[in-house]
Amino acid sequence: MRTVLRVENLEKFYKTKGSITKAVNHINFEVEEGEYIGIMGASGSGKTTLLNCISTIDHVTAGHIYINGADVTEMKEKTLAKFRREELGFIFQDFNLLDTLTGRDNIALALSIVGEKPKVIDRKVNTIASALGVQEIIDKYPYEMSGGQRQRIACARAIVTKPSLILADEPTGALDSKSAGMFLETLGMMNTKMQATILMVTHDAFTASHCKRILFVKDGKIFSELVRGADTRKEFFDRIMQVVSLLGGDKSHAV
Amino acid sequence: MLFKRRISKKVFRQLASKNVRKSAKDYFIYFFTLTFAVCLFYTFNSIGAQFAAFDIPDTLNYLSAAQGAMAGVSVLVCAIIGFLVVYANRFLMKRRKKEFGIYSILGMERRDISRILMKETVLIGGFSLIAGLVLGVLASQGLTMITSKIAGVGLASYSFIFSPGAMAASVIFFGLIFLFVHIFNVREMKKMKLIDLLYADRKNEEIPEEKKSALLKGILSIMFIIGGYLLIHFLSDRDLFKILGAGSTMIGIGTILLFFSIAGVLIKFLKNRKKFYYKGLNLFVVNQLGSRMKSTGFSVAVVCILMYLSVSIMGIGMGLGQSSMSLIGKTAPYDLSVEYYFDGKGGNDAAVEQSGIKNELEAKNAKLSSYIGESEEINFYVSENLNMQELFGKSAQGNQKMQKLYKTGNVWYVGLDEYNKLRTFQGKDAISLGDDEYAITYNEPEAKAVLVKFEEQGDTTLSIGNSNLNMKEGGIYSATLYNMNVLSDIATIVVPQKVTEGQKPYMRIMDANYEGNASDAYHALLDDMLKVKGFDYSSQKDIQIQIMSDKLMATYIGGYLGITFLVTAGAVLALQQLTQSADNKKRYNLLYKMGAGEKAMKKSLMTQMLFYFGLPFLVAAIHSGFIMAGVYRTIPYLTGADIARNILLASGLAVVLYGIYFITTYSGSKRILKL
Repeated sequence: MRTVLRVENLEKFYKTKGSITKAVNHINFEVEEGEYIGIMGASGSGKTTLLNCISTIDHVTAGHIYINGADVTEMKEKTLAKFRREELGFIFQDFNLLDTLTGRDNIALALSIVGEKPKVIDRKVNTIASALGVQEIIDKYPYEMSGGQRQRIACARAIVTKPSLILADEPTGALDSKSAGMFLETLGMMNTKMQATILMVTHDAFTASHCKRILFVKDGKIFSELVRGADTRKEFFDRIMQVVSLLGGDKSHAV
Repeated sequence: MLFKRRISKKVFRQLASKNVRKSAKDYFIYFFTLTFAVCLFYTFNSIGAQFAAFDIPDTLNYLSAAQGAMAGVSVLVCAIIGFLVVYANRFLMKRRKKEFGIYSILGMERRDISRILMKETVLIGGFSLIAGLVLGVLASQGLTMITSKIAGVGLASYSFIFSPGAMAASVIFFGLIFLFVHIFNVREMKKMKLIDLLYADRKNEEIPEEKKSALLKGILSIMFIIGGYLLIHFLSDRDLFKILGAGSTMIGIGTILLFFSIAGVLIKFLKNRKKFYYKGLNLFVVNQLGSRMKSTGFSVAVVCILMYLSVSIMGIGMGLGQSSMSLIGKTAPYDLSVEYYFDGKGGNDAAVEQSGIKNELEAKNAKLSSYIGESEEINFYVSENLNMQELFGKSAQGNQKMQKLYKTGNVWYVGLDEYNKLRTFQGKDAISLGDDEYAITYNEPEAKAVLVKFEEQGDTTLSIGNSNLNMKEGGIYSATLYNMNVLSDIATIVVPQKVTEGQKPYMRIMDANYEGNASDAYHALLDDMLKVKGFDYSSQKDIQIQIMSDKLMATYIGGYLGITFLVTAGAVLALQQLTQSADNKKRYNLLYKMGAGEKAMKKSLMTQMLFYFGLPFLVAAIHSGFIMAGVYRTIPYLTGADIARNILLASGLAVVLYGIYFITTYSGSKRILKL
């Protein structure tokens, strides 16, 4: 298996009046091709900062991040743009679809930014839409869709360019439990059927229980790691809950 | 280069046009303001073409001066509009931070985002330029009607007016503005970090610290404002423009202080009235206004300042214009006046003194000679020993303007016989004088009071030439002795003709009416002006054009600047309110979740808007009322009806334009807040 992501001694500090907050403090881990990895932690644990650094949205204080062997911490803005469009796919908590565009155009835009030929764009959009079951809603505008529908359009947009790594930031945070369930099935399908490598940040144990491996972050450091192995989702969820209670997490998130 | 073409042009164009179309409602105020600005710019710069259409001669370059002044004002207007466009653009950029963040996330380069922005700017700019020009061409037809009315020419020679020069200037000026805006946008884009773009709406708002000095500032502001009012009221007849400037500045400072302090004072007051405070959403509205006014007080004050400047400038401009217009006929009652000064420079003092100007013109083969009909000539003498200040200074006390006019110069006098001839020429009765009497003639209306006072104070014996003369009882007469562009004769002594004998005249005037074709006569005059030297010619026609161009300039510059200020004020306020509404989305959402009814929320929005638009409007109305009342006291020759009409017109225009912005903003905010 090829290593898609390698994080080495990553540090991210914030300076506020007189004190330094170590949001990410010496984190090391690797993600291999085809993995579906979750990062869990309470709010303020540094998990979103970690994701922002990996996704090139934020700059690191020290350390290195290699995606497909390339060090993104050394890249300039222009190369970063090229890198983002070719190697990364994004799914956000608040969807971040462009509301001036229909679902179809939102997906197509990702392809035109990569420079795909106009002829194949339509075909690719249709293929991915039927794979994710969003053909019915694809010609609506984002404000005409439900949260779950929007998030699945965002999935389609993230995977249509066949990126090396899909990054999801609290993707179920704004969804009700039914939509969240449907969305997570879609994400799981993308991982198993379409061989997408997914890194997801969440604080929700139910969401996390869909992953194959979970890293727990506390105070900017990796606290422990769980691998699903042959467990059913329910068994894995119970194991996650044990770690969460150890972390002093909030049990009310357990669905 | 291959890299550059990576994203197809089509996608870009589509994105840009879709963005503009989908956010048309956001862009409406921007578009409206730009269109209006272009229209204004074109219309007022097309006056050259209007003059040409009416075939008004511009011998003395008054009209080109008016045109030049308009161009000068246009630069100022452009600067204001440029500022406004950048401000409006910043609002739009702010609303779209997240969108740019998403483009970046999808891997679009900043350069490509800038290109989308440029396409949008070109699209919006192009549309508003075209719309503005079309409107401008229409509006300039309307302005042509006004010009024809002011110029007193009929619409017989009217044809559709189009000014290529004004059009080219509009395109160039606004092209430059758009270029500037684009450069600004690109720089803004470069400065922004991706993380800030994506999470722009999650930033916490910082509320400026509470300041304790609100009451002190409030008192200070009232003092400044009242000081400004008093200054304009009591000193503006001394030096209108200087005092007006100083007074307006004081009022401006007072206004800024007022808007900084008013929120604090008002909120403290309202919070203590529990019955009001806890009723409905009042608590929310009061605090909302309180926190907003602290951060936006300055710009609201600027809006208020722009408004009262605008209304005052428009009102005063029209007033000055009418004032100068009412003079035509009084200042130049003769078709032509020809002046000759006996200072040796004219070259033939002896000949003129002996045979008069008319004969001398004939002798010099002036073409004009054949057109001169009825004419009279009069000599002016300067008294060596009498000066105006000594003679009338005391009587002029109490009237600043008159005091200044009587400050310098020696007393001039004319002979009775010649003066009477002129009076008869004008259709006035001849006057009579005893051998040792003199009379005083004037044409500046305000001088009369001074002269009457002079007679009343008793000591009126003068020594002129070699005689001592007493003033004839009630011997104060009004007459215009020769064509001038203003009524400037504050006192000329009329003495018995024999007193002037043996005195050396200072100047000789011939007043004449044309005989035959007036237009031919005028062209002969233009020819003589260049060829027959030594004389100063002032024809009624040139003076009319000069006065007319003065009126045009005062009225149009007033209107031009006034409307620009108004639009700026309205647009700034509108954009600010729309930004706030966007920021308030979460708050209203929360109110909704807490169970506030739609009706109550609409009402709270309306109250806030009314406060925001109404307060500066009210303050500006009071300011401009005081300023105009002060200034109109010093503008001569105006009737109450004129003044009332000007004020109504200026304030009516303000209400309409401002109202459009208010309604647009309210409905825009309702849309943003989904109420």
